[in-house]
Amino acid sequence: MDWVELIRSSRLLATSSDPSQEALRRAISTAYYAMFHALATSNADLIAGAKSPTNRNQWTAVYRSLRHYRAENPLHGWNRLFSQPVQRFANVIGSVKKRRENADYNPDAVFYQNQVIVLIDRAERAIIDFNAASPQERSMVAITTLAGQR
Amino acid sequence: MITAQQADQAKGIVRETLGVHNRQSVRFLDVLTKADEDFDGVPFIDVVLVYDGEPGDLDIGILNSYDNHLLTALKDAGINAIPCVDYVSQSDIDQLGAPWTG
Repeated sequence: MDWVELIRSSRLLATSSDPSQEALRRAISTAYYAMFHALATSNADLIAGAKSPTNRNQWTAVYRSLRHYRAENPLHGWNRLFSQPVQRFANVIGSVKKRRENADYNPDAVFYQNQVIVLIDRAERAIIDFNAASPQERSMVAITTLAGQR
Repeated sequence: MITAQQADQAKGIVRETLGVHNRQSVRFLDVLTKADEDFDGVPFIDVVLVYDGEPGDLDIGILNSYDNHLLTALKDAGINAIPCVDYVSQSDIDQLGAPWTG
């Protein structure tokens, strides 16, 4: 999944004239998935190597290993290990995930168009900054977000 | 989940840390906070910053940095919750009402 396209879809939903609450809800959810899939792609690229015909199965296996709970929570526990951009990514994906839960499941939640536009902008900036972090640091992120605990 | 008292204490911390936004041209008019948790039971604190302006007036880099700053300030105060900060313009609240009161 291409996070750039997901952000674009999210923005299309949020910036239409007079969007419905349903459109705003889908926009929030799509912005979250943009962040989730950006992280899954980074993890797969760093653990399995850039996707190619020879490593396709391994790459996809790593990509699909990411769980929603682990997409942000472990990073908070280890936040002093990570640079500011990675910490910002962890905080923003946590916030967007929280909003996404409301958007997808809480019928009483109300969203404002401008609020959602800011949320999408924040998600996009957080992904760009995260992807600019060093491969070494993002490898640590991959291990932290993929490795389970007994 | 954190207590309502801690959520109220967090409101004070948010007000104290708003200086991180100094380089922005917007004015913050109000702060709302509410204790909550996500589906996994992780404690969160919902924060709404009401501002005077439009989304384009906000510096997104500063907003994202503010989350880090606020998380650290909350931890230092013994409030172990992840802040979930929303930016809502006063004009939206005038038209649609407050998102919630806390």
